[in-house]
Amino acid sequence: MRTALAGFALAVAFASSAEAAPPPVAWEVTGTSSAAVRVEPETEYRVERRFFEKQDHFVVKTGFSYLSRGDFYDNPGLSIDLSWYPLEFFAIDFVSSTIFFSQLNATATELRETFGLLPDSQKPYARITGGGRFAFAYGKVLIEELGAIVHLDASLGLHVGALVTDRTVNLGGDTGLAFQAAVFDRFVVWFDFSWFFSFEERSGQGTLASGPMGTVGVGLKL
Amino acid sequence: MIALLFALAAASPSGASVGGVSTPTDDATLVARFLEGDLVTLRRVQVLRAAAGERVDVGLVALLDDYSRLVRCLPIGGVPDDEQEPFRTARKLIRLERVRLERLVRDRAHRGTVLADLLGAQRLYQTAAPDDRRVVYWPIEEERWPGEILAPTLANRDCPSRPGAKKERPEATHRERRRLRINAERARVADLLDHLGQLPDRTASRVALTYLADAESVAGFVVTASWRRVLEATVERSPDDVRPAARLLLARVAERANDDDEIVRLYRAVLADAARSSAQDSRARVRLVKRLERAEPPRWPEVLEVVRAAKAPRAADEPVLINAEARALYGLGETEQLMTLGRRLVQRSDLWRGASEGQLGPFLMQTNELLTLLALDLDPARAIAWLDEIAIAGDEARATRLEELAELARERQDFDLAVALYDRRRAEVLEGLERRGPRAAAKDAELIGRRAFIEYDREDIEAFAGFVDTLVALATTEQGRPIARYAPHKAIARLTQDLLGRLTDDVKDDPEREKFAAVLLEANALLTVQPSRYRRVLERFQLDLERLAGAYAVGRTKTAKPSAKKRGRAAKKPVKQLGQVVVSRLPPSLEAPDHATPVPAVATFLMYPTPEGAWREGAPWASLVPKKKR
Repeated sequence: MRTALAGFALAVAFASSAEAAPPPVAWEVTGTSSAAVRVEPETEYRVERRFFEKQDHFVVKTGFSYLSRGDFYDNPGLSIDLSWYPLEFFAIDFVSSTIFFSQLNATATELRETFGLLPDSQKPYARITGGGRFAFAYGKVLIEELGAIVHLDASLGLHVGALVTDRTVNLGGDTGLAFQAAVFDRFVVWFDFSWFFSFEERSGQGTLASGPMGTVGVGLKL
Repeated sequence: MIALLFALAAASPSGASVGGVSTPTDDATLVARFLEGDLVTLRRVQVLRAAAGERVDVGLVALLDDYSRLVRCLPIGGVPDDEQEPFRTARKLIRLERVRLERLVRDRAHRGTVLADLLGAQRLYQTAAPDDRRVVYWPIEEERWPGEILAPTLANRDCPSRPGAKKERPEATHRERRRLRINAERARVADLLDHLGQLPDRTASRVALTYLADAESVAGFVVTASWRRVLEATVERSPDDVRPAARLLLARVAERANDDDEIVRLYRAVLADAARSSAQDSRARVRLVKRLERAEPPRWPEVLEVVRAAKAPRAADEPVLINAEARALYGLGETEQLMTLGRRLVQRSDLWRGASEGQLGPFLMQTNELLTLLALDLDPARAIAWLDEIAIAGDEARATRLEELAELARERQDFDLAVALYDRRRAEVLEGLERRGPRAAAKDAELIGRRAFIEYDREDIEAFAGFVDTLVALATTEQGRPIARYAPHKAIARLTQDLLGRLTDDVKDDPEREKFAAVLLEANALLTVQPSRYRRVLERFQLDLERLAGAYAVGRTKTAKPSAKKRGRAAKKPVKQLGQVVVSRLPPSLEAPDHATPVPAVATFLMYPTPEGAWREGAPWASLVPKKKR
């Protein structure tokens, strides 16, 4: 009450030239207001610590691969990749390689046994490439039945190198989409779908041979 | 596939505690983060608590939110009515600072305060989360995922680079808004008065000081006695840098209430305060002695005590204090001490010696007047020597003093002194006759007139006639000199004017007085022979003088009518005329101008909590300001 009186007295004295009932002062004038003033923008995001952190880490991965390029061979393989992430969203794949255990497929085997013919395609032994990887997305998946959330990233890769065949070493490479899911702190589960291509000589002519290759495996974050 | 399933089963980061962004929820950490300059965490906590249904418009989070707005120069709303102490008071202080900040950026006021630290390119506070690739931002969706927390953004800082940068245009708008801001600031300060008891000493004293400074600056504003007591209690517990200034302002405010005892007590408190500055001491002494002087009866011994204890009065105050001392000595009848003061004073080259009348100013001029009055109590020779001793520079000023004193002596019927002073003046004038020419002659005529007046008082008709004759002769001598030509006419006219009334009374009781009228009549007649500027004036007197001269109206060369001889001198009646008996009174006390003393700038009113739960005075950003800037 005392403050109110003193404040009133001051207001009367200080605003002697003002009108009898001065309008309330806008907050733009004094920076303050008797009413609530909203200043902060609406919240637009939620934030979460990245569970699957890769920056400054090496990731070594291994997995089962299968290359299908219409060359009358079945090309299962064992892949080994070694990547280093200087940035969270970019990796250098020092090595992205696959050892193929190629066999003539059933049709080619039958032709060989019947007519003694062999396909002019070369039999892949190994893929040895290097390149880069751009992680363009980070996501998470809820496994409802398990109540588990899986953090993963999606990346586009591009590799260039060589395809070692039963006849020679050919220039080759691949580009594809990969998903890596984090498991605990250091492990990843890995799925890669890429399109592999190589130049090789068939029937005396240079040919671009290509086909999809899928890989599923696990990795370790170092 | 097995591996994938295994991985899926195992990979379940649950909630904020595993891999989530850490946001403190305890108050201590929140305060610590804020003091480190982190506003983002505060905002997150605010949003999180609000989302959880907690009130965030009161308590610690609200206080820190107010600070967050203040440091970003953003507007701040009201304090809810149900806000509890001490947050209520602390938040009101922030609002006061917010108004001061607005004054800083628009009016260039409060430039020396810590608020200036908030301006400029230097950002003291983190208003956005650091660009951290370790965190992921998810758009707001309906789904709530564990481990995610709201990531509110903060409004951009709105602090300009320099004080005054946001001054309104046009100027008229700025002036009007500036007035509104000043009033708003004062109202905020007044609003805090009721909280003085809850504030830390330093903060409370700053509020009291500001309130008093505001109150003093508004003409006619009176602080009631009860509020003065509240303020005084706060001032008493103020630190040294605030207390003397606040006491002085309190006394000034009390002056408006005209409570003499309180005013004297408050000014004495200033003078007893060891932390007072010499300027504050000087100002308090001036105010105090003026109050003591005007007491009924004046408290002269106390005036002397206060004045004589002054060590280094300000140049503007010193004449006032000297005048007060002189007045006190005069009032106490301490003639010798007053003369000593006068002798000391005339040696002061910075105040007196060489100064002209205009340079002395009203207080020293009145002091000079008092010193001059002392001559009335001395014999003529000593009086003239004394006047020479205290003379101020410039012939005119000294001459004026001599003539004023001579007139005073005449009024006191100290004719010897009056004659001595006028004769001294005449001698000086005649000395300069050659140098000043007709001007000196004119002055001489005036002085002869005054001398004649004295002879009238002394009833010495021969001497009177002699001086009047001298004037008539001077009229003949000077008639060729334009400046002095009519000076004798003027002197005779003035003398006649001055004496006409008295003659009217005196001739009834003393027929000898008719001779004075006759002498004046004769002079009037002689001076109106030739046309002059004063001819009409002098002619107007002649009829009256003729009547007053009675039998002597025939002139001195003829024999007076017999009736004149028959009438003897009647017994003198006591003088009835009021105002003729002069007692040297103390001149009225002059109003001393109050020269303000600096009011210490209030660096900040703020107080903030510490992580330990204590409260600290000052701005919470003090530790964030780079040393170079500070």
